[in-house]
Amino acid sequence: MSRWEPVLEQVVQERYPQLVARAMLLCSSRTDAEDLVQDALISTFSGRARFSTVAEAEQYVRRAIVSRFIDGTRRRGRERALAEQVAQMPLVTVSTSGTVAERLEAALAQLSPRQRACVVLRYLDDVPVHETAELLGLSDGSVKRYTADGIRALNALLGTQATVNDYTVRVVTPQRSVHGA
Amino acid sequence: MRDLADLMNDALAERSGSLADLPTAPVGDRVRRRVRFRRARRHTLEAGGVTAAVAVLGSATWFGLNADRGQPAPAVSPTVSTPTPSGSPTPAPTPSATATSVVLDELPGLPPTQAMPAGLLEQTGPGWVLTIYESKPASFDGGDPPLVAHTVVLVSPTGDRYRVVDLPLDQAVYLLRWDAGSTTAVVSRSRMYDDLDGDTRAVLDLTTGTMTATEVGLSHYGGGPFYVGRAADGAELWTTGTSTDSVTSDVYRRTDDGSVTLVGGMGITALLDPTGRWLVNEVWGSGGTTFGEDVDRLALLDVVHGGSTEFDYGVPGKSCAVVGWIEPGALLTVCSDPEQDGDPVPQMNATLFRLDVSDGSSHATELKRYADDEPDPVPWSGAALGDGRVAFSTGERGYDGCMAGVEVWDGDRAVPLQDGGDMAFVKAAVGGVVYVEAAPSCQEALQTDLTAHDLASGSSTVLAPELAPTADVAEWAVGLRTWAVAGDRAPAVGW
Repeated sequence: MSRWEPVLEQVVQERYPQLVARAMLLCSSRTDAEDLVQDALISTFSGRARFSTVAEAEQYVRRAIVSRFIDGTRRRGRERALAEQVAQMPLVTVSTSGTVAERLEAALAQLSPRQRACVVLRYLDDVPVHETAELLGLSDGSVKRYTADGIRALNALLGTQATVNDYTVRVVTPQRSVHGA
Repeated sequence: MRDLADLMNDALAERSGSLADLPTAPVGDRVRRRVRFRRARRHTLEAGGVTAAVAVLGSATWFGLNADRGQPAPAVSPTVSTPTPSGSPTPAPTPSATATSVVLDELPGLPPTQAMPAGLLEQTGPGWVLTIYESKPASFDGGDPPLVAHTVVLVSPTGDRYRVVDLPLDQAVYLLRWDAGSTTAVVSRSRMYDDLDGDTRAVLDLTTGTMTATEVGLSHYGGGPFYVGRAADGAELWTTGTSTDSVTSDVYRRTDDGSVTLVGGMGITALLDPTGRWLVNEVWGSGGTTFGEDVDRLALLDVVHGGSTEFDYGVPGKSCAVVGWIEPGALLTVCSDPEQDGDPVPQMNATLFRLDVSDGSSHATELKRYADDEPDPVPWSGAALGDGRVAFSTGERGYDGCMAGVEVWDGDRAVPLQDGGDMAFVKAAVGGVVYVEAAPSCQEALQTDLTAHDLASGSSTVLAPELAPTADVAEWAVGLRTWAVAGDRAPAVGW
């Protein structure tokens, strides 16, 4: 067996549900999320990067999930349409009766793809701004803007507060602020 | 007020728990198959790494294409001799294995070589090859052994090897182009094993080892920019991804004054025609086969004047891909039954076609049908000889299929050129010589060797052998890393 195969096997066996859960933050359909994770696994292990640990490989896969998500929307020409669509829609109140996961996924679904991607990379994974920009093919400024807008919207929808770059984002009045893709 | 980060982490944990019963075995099988296929494909398109059992010296005679075009030609392996293992850290002169009785040095991490005489670079001509050995022992404990050697080696058409210059151990250097007689080469370099920064163009002074950065000035998006080749008017062609995995890219011309201009877009793979005028590439999003993804049309990009024209493969109901250029305006293609489940293999009823493309239309002519248990041409692996002949790799069928060897389409039939074992791929065809890089396995990045097949004389010469084990290194993970044939217009373009 080749040296990459045991690492791949271990990532799938031990981390697949967690990776799908992460992908569901981007595309709330479980089927789409599974496709995204499998694409990311293929992309990661087909590349030139070498992994010696499962954790190292998982970090690559996590980032590949986000970049492939953005690539998918970009390829299908959907990104701009989605962003424009999202920009014109008022925020819809997220039901408080669902589980925490359902509420978060419902809130994220109201963000543009780039906002979702930036929030996941910057806020959840703590990926530096410049690295996020390189990964998504955006400028540093765009990453900051998408992240701030996304977090502001999530706070409005979920009644949370968030700290980004050492200052606290607290939303008083829910309002839509989406930049076109 | 609840912190958003806490909520997100709780949500992730909750969702992960609800998915804990997801079956992983079929996912692992499917992903592993696709990764194996892609890795095999990638190795056909870029210079690979290295495992050595033997080193091959000298020349062997091959009575293939030129002997009798009317008769099937057997695949011929070069004569193999076993070198003397050397674990010595200091140069140890040994008798030459060549007929000229030149004393060869056996240095750690290099095949037998000799010091390069002053002025030799300036005297090189067609058929000389520049190589770089980036020699690294295999690791069996997950560690990362340091490089033993990182050295430019010049190889004559008859297989004589000369040490040119040592390179920094902390930089990966890939040869892009080198002209006979020149004391410089164009390379791309990056920090060793760090693909995230992308490669940068540099000019390597072969007399001093100094590398002078000559940035292309394009985005590193998607791991690029990547070198494509040289256009008919001498401009270098570079691509930079327009998607993070470079499934789609923009193509740019870089002229000698360093200016860069956009010439058009291309899909994931491309081949430059022998004249340097046309770049054939696949068109994303029209339904097809190459990676089991949506590709089933091709485009010709005029890399000199700009403008792109799309064509179909002219074989309705089949999944097709380009194998290589026969001549300007004519391509070798392979078509097979479309996949039923989205997987890219096993390509039943594979058939070789000549596809004539001109004036916006295409016409396919069937050349050869491959039996379903017979290795068939690997898409995008072809190197044009410039006289209508095309050398290409063949691959085994099935999910775990590896490369099978190299064939040459001689205008009438496909003639075996080299039995590659698990992996063999053509990287260049210059001046009637086909250069084949081969490795014993396609499942791992193992050592490769480089063989030159002279179709006119019928001789085969191992130019760059695998590294032999030594007393200190039982197995090498990497040896030959990259090479460039003098005057080669276009190395294969990979993803």
